[in-house]
Amino acid sequence: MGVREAEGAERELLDRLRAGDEDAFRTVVGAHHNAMRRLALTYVHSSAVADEVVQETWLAVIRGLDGFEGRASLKTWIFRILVHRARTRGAREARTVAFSSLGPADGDDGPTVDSGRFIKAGEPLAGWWSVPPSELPEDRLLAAETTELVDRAISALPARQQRVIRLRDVEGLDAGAVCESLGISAGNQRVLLHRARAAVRAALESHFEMVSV
Amino acid sequence: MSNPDLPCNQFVELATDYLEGALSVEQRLVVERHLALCAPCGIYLDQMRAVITTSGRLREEDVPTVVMKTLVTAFRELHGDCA
Repeated sequence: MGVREAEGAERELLDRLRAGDEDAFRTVVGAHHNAMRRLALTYVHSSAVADEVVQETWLAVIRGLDGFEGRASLKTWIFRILVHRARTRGAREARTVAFSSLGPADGDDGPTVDSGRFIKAGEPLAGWWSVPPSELPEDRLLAAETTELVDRAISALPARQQRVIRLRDVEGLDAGAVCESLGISAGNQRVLLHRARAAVRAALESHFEMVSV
Repeated sequence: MSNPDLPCNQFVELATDYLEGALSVEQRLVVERHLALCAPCGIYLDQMRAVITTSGRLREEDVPTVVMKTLVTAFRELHGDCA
């Protein structure tokens, strides 16, 4: 779909929502509800609270439809409301939850590929692969078990990385929309995305047992 | 293999910036020269692309019936209020 076509489709959807078209509303809920729930869970610590946050978000979306100016896409606008609410709830929870239970540390620095995979400093060709990656088997990439593995790998990521990869690669938002939804800079978005993708790549690689370190 | 400018362990950290088109022209040339010389880094980049496509398949569109029903009811009532 071209940009203009996509904009046209979005305006039509918005018109239908404003006119009270329930099928249009079902389509929007169907497209985003589960992703919103997964994203909310990176801010709050129980599915019950996440469900509440998502429900509140939908109510805010319904109430805000007439005032929505369409400067951001509908999707970006919805996710921004969700993130705002989830963050507020998460901050309230954090006061009562021990910090250590807030999941793995972010780890935003250090190499994303095990340094043992490269030739050591001081040797000829230092920094080049000593244990290079092998091609992933195309057919097995499409298998359901691979999809499940990727799902688990993403769920195990530190919260900030998880938010970015879910919005970018799972939901297909563009970089600008992700920065806007999460309130982060373009550079920060790329660092988090890189670390997230690199961790999932490593999980895929070891799943296919292509490495013998 | 004769590109000491960019060893593989630095290439892998630039992969996302490269795919995002966030590198300067100079950096991009260095990365592309490395890719032309280094098959394993090409494979690494393919693996990063595989992560993107596989992640894109995780979207689930089935919302529990009860949840959908509650939301549509809210839509009907609230929207009715402001229309």
